[in-house]
Amino acid sequence: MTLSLADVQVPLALFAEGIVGHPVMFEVLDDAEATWPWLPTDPARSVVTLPASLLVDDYRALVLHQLIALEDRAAGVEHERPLVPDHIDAALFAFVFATVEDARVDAVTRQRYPGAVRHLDTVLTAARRDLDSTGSAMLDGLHRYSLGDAAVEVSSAVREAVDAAARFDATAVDSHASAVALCELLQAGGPVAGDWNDELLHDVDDALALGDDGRGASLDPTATPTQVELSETAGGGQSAADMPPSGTTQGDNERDPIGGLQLPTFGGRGAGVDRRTFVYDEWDYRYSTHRRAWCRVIEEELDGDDHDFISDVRSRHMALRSQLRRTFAQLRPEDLVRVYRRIDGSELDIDGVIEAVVDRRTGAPADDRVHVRRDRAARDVATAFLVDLSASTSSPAVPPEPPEPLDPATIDPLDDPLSYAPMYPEPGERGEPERRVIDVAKDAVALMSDALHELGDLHAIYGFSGKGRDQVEFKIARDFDDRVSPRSWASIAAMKPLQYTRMGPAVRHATTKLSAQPARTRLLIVVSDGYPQDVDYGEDARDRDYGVHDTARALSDAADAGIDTFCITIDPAGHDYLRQMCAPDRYLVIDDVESLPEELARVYLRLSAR
Amino acid sequence: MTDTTEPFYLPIADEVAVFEAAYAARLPVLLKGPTGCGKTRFVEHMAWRLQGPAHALTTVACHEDLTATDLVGRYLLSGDETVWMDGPLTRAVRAGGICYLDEIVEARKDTTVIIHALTDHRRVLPVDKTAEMIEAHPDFLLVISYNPGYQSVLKDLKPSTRQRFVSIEFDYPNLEAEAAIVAREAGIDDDTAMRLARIGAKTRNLRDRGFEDGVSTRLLVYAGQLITQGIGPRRACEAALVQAISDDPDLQAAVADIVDVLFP
Repeated sequence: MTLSLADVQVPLALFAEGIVGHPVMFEVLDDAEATWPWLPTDPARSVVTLPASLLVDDYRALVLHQLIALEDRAAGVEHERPLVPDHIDAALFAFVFATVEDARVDAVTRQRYPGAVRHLDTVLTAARRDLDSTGSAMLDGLHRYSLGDAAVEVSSAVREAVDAAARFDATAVDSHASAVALCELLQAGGPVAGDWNDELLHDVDDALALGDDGRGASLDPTATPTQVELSETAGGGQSAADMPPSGTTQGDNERDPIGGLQLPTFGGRGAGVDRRTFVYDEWDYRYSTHRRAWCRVIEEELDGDDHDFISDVRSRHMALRSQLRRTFAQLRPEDLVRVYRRIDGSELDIDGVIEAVVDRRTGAPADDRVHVRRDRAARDVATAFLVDLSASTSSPAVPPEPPEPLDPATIDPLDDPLSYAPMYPEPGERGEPERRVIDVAKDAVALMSDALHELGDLHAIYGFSGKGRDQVEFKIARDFDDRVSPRSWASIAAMKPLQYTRMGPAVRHATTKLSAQPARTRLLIVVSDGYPQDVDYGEDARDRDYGVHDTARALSDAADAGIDTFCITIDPAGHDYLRQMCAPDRYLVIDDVESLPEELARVYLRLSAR
Repeated sequence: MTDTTEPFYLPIADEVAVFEAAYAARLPVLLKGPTGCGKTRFVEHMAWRLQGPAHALTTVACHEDLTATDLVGRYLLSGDETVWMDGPLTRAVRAGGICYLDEIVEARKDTTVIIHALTDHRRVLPVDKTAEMIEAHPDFLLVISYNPGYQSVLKDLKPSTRQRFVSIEFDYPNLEAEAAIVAREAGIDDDTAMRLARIGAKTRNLRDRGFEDGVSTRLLVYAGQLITQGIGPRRACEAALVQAISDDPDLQAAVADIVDVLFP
């Protein structure tokens, strides 16, 4: 049975962060066959290298092994790169040092994390089993002994040298001394030069001379730990250069092309300033860290001129609207309510007191619930609806196959109850564009806004889109403090498909705006129609996971800020990524676009009644 | 309350000296810090230290429906009449001693107002229902606590309240101190206590990953006490720590792993 890294990565990353105290990045070895101990950890990088799949439970031992160096660094113990003494063959030394150092780290692990010993032993047993021969009996013996094979035949000098370093209180300096001693021993014995595996030496030389493809060489399926160690060392950590360590210089360089994000400006609303910019961090799941000040959100009020919009919506959804009004009427807010006949409270309930006194005088058992308590029963809800305005929302809402055309001449009006209803021309017949996803979304939020206005619940309607991280567009169709007017409805009507779906920063900005609302219950309802994606959402634009993780992070941050979030997506295939982004009871996938207004209302009722 | 033994408290910094000075000047004290780091124990310890075994410490755990009435007092029916019943705060004000309002921001807003007159030079408690102005006993001291971590913005202390108090900040003790506390409180050996303290420190590294406060010293003591009672260390930590800190399965798995690798 094998275990895939993808399945355990999240708890494993948390585990690693807990152990060393800062985020640790996992790098995946594409070679599933590589042998222990994989790559040595460069403490400066906070990177742990792991194969993509493994036997159960082995990951933790691998991670711990690599974390020891990180942990020592966090505690102020620096490991220096060993210098190779002149009289010792560099390739041999690298091999021996790596072997001894691994033995030392294992010893530290045994002492520091006794609970991991069992797994460590499993890993070491597997490593001994899969060991490639170096061609030198002495080296193989050393290698096996360092991997915990106590029964292997090695000279007492080798044993002593390894044992001297493989102590929990030893340091890399001890490993170095032991490695020097062992190399001198090996070279003095003479068998090394002629005897050992030419291929290995060749590879080692390659690795040492190499300046180009450091990682590629290290991932040679037959690679032994030595080669891996050397190529990593000699290649100068090329892989490290490829990826920015969390929040350091590399990130800063990458930010430069924008020419520095502008500082947020907070212009007054309606004071001649209708574009305001805000800067938000973005979550990079691969490094488990935030990219600081990564996205610029440009907030703009929408202005529309479609003044018939709301009456169209009302007539289109007459039944739903009246149903909503009825349902919402039952939710009418009441402020602090007095609850009578309570066992304690801030005031006496005079009626209760009189009854109790009368009961007592007449000898009946008295009810001592004679207080009035003022309890909160008020509706105190603020909701932000965040509508996806990506280009894809311009796709038709109705499934492509046209309904059977009705020929009035062939239908007996008495048989068809619909014929009594006023006949509206089909949209296509009026020469109007057919209804798109965005139109349904607009209907839905307009209906909600209409109903919430009557109910008195605070709400705002925002749209988002954008292209690139410095241009996330955040459109305000209706803000919390906007009054209802023909103009405010026209602003909702003015929402239209724009560009991409960079959801994370939009969620963060909506969260900021919601957080400023003093309501007890704050809801953020996201209505979207597909994957979060943008031209530069993640280093690889095709990497959908980046956007999903960033959005998930933004949503969970919103939850931490005391905001209930909910995602509704109009995307029959949306189930998969929403499951990664939201808790199971926090999302809904709609395949029938036209049911959105009804579903939205249902979601709102459920959330706001919590 | 009468304790025969002094409540154990291991000072981390100069908090004892600051509290003693505040008590000498009868200045109200605000204790800030995460849950389970020893605020309540500190107050118990100081009460014993300052007022001896016969000290009167009144502790009120505030909750969101705690009203001024609950603190000050109310009329109750007794026989044929209504009798006034002092609330815990009023009793402490009359009798002297330390009144400790734990997690004060949880309480309703009206409670913070009634303590205003008590916390400045006036040192009086107005009781409007009985039309009384109760002068605080010379030995009366008001201590409140709050946890800035998990309180929402809505439930912050108003500056007008906060500025009436001498603030002492608490955090979890360092590794050695925490191990000593856990060993002493749970009655376990130093080695196990050190392991528990290490678990505490490691899991607190994950503080900003979903649980605001990390594993508290109190939880570590609980785990230690379970171990003393014969529960296996891993199971004890699972029950006392892993399940207590978060409902997120990933976080739980990570903390369980940390526990697992640290115990032999």
